[in-house]
Amino acid sequence: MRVAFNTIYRSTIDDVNRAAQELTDRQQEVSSGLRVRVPSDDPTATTVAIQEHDQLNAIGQYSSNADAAVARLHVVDSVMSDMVTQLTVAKTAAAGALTSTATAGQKEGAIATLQSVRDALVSDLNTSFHGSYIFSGSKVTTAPYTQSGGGVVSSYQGDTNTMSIAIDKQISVNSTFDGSAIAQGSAATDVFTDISNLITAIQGGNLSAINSGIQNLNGAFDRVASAQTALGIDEQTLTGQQARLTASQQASTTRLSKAQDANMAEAISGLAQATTAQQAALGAAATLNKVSLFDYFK
Amino acid sequence: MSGLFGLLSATARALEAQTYGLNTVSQNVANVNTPGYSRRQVELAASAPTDALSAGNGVDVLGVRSEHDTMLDQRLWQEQPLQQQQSALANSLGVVQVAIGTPGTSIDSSLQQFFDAFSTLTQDPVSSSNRQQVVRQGQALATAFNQMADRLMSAQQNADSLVKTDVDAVNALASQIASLNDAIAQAGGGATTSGQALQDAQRQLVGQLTQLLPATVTTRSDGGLDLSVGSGQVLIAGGNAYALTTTPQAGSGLLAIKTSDGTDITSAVTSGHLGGLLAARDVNIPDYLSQLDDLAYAVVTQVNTKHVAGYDLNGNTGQNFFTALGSASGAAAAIAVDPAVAGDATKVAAGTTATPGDNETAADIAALSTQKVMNSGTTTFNDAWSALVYAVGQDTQTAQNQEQTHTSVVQQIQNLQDSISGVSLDEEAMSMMKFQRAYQASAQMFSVVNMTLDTLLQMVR
Repeated sequence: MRVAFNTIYRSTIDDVNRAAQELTDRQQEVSSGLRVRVPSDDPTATTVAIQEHDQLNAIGQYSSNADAAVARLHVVDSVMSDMVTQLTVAKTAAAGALTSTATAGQKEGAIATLQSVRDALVSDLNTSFHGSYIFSGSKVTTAPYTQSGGGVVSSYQGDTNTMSIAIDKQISVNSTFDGSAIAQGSAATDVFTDISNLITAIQGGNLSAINSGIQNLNGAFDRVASAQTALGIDEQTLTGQQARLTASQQASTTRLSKAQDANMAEAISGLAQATTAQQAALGAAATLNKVSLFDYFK
Repeated sequence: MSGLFGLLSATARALEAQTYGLNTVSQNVANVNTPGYSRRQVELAASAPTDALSAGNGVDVLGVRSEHDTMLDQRLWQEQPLQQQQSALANSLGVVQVAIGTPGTSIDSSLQQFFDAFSTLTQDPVSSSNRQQVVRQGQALATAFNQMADRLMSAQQNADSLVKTDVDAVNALASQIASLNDAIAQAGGGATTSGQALQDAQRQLVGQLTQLLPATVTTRSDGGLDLSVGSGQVLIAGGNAYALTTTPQAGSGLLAIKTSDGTDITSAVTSGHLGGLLAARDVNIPDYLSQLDDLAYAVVTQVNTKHVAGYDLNGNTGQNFFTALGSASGAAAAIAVDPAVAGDATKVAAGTTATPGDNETAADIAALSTQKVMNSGTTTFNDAWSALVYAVGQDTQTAQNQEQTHTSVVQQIQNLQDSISGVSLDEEAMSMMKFQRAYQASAQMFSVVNMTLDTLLQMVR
């Protein structure tokens, strides 16, 4: 077949351009560290990358929710611990008045202690976190309990709807609590009424009523302890979930890297090969220009 | 004596013939880089003897032949449109895939941040900053959709404007080809060297035209070329070119291509550069826009359905988060946060009851990001976006690969053409030497005959 002048130069130019394109692609791969820079580089890998980005984002949001929940539950845990302490003090004070030989001073001391405990318990249950009441159920802008000037505590002002925060697709933890479940539960009276009744019993020296009051304080103590146990389970769930999220994040990051990132060893090797190929193409192009029959005419 | 004079005459014609040969070589070498030039070959034939004892009468120049293969021309005019179609498509879609963005930075990211804002709202539904963040991310999501739709429509408009450019180029080329038909006919077609030069130029123009718009090329009896397009609509007949027109279509405003008799050939143009542009403009980009609109519409309707049933911080219900849309068509360009919500973050519905701390509506909306709420409950929002990106990437990659494949075929055909029509400098160098030596020999022969005549004349003095 005849080989025309244009054939040689067309194929040479094509080879040089192809080598230059390959060199450019390898340079971009090395400098960007990415194997997939546009969807057409690898459409399947691109969709994998989109999915993994979505997964990483979800993990990030769940982690944020978990961190917020941890902070909130730490506050709740502190409140419940304080309530346990307060109720223990109240029981001790009441027990001290459970005797027919209690002096007026002892009675006044017990009453003062019980009043202080009552105020502390109101304060505990009225704890807020970032401006929202934790123990009002869903009525987070309403204080669960109010107190009049005489120290009389109102009935529960919140509701029984507890809210939760998602820390995974199917896992949630409580973010608000039903204060009435802790303060009263299934009992006939709430702890504040119990304390008020106990104060009246001590003032009147009614040993039977004092004893009944102490039993009611035991009931309140049990409710707080039970709530704290449930809280502990939530906190354990959070700790485990944070660890799982961290592991999921690492796995997802690895998959994302595998989908879109360049293997640097291969990329650098490819760059070296492309550089050599381009030099060879240019050298061949220069060599072709040197030989012509016209050169041999004298 | 008449024999010697005849010999002189024959030698003179030989000198002339070799000069023609050298001229042909010179022409070939001069046009080695001329696009579309077909190398010339001088045709020589022995001149018949005039009597029984004569060896011959020298050499006659029959003419100059242009070397080219009509079949290869036709093959090239069929293959180049396919190459150009994929090239135009790859270029148009290359712009689209850049507009689509990279994973984690585009619509997918905006969707994630929007639903994340609702998830953060569940932590503290009465927080003003959380509510403001929901509104801001909603606006950012709407803006992302608007801008993406705008980019796709701009790509479509760009393809449309290039359609006009290509049609104008087709008309200009057609006019030139028609003019050359007249010139070729007047020059005597391929039988003359001037006709051959005009035919070379005409074939080059036909090649340029068929790259833009596939055409059926037929050879005229006078050596010119007629072209028809579509399903037989005449584009060029003799010295007449029948220009194509572009008119905006009702509704879309995109250009339709019509022949001079008013026939709409838009849908019939499936290859050539025009075919690639039309495929991008009328098939690929509208498909991507449709998918984007479906996604935007699904986001609006799903979020609004939850939001309208929820209660805002003021205890009110029935408020859409996004401005309601009637259909998916144009949803991506139209999506916007409802002005009431945009202006007052307390109108963001977070709860299923009127109590301020209720976060269940916010949780339900946040959960939409992982639920299969599209395509009859088979895909999530992210799946739908992923499918759109895949379509763009796959279509672009296919066009690029097809372009490379057809380019290889075109190059092979061009190489075959060159093997017939192309100038080989080494070959021309040999021919030059051949005619040069022949000229030298004929000149020497002329001297010998001349000396012989002198000798004869001296004899009769």
